[in-house]
Amino acid sequence: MQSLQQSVKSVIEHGRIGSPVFLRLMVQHPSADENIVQATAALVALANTWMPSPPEQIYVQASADTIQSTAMIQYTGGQTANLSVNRISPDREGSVDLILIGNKGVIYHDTPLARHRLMTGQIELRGGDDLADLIDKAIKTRKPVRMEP
Amino acid sequence: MGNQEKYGVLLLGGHRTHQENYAHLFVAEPRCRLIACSDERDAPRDRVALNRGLAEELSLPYIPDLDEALARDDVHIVSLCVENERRGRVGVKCAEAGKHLYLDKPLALNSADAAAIVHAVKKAGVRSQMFSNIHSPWAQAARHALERGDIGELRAIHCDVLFAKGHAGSAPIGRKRKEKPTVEQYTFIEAKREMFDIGVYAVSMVNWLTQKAVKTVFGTTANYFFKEHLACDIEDFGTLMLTLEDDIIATITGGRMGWMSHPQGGIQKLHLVGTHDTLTLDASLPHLKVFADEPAFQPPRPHSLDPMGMWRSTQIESGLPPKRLWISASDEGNAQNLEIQAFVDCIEKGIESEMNAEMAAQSVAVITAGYQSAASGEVIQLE
Repeated sequence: MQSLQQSVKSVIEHGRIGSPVFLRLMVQHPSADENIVQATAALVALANTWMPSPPEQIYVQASADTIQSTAMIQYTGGQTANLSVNRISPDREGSVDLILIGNKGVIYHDTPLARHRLMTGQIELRGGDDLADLIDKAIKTRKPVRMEP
Repeated sequence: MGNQEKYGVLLLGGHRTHQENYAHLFVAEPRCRLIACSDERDAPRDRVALNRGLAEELSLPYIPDLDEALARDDVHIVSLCVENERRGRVGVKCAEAGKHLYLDKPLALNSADAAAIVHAVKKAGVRSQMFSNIHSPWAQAARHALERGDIGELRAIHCDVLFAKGHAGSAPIGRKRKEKPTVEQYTFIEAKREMFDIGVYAVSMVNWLTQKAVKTVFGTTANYFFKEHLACDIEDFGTLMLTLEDDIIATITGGRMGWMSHPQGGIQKLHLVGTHDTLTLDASLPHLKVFADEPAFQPPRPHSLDPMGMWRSTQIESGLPPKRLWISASDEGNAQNLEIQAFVDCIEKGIESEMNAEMAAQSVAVITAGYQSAASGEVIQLE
């Protein structure tokens, strides 16, 4: 994920897509860990590195069986992000599906699907530890939660 | 209807409406024949001129009085593409006249108008169908996968529909849109309410695939791309998060993001998340990627009456070139013919369409709740 984060950041910094306005990020995460909060927090932290404004509010819905979590983030500059973590069996390969829309262009990333493709590495969702409590609160309350700048 | 007779189709809505497309689909349907173009007697003059333009193009008579047109025995179907603001009234009139309704999307401006059409259709016992993507190969594949249980129990569904049209980059960035809770006007010359106009595809897809009622709506709208939408004080983008029956989560996006944002017509993508597996379906797949020594796609100059490139007639007038980097390798082109075939099948068999007025009304309820949520910042509960 680190190389993905940096390559996307590079495209943004070169101004090729203008200013990021919307992110759709879908991660199929091989994991037996039913704590989906940490995985969600990692995606939120990742999204925040790409957006030009700080996050203002988050709304999270997670399945009771923790199969999936979906977060909608609204940023102070009007940008939005829809982030989803879907837990899959640990013996399967994960994937990342990304659409980052700027006001003048778009970045697309799909993990290629093919029997003989080589993954460049495991999908490791790290970071965002400081967001875990907030996301947990958002899941439990089922309401939008303000995010401190 | 005898075996040799065809269903007569009356066209409401002319150039610069989707009737430009629907009319040709009805021409291609062997069980149908076009009868005439028409509109309300007091329809706006510019609309009447556009109606007459399409009638002339199709070599059809123009009947200036809709009541007179609906009284004809040779009219069995009305293809309804008047402006959204008039759809409730006109749809009810056509249903009450006993005509089957082929409905442009979205169904109506608000839930009251949508409910009026639903009620009129039911009372008259006519068939109805709103244009949608449900007959596309990718949508059918999604449905079959769900029916087979390929992914186990559905936990989440995410659908993005974003059109690659218009010259993006003119809206100021870094500003939040201040949305209004109700939709007062939908139709403008230079723009449309895109969460409504394009988001309806995604919401309809969610409604149709899940067959589950939406319980809550939370969303936001934005002006990310076009000064035209900002000038009209309407959005060019919207996203909603829904909770459905059985705790299914859904998100949708609907919007327009510019000619250069996609190698084809835009994003149409669906993710299904289940207890056993996930599935992603993409309308652009399969496709060929073609790299050749030829000029790259350049968008046309904005048409003064259609800067967003919404209509076939204005696309031709502005000299829109084809995009050639990705070439579809699917049967998607036939999907719209299947859409009309399905509608006529429903008429012949006396069965409800899978995207009838009642189903279409659900998307109106969801999207209008989306505007309320965007305006208030609150999660909206649906009845």
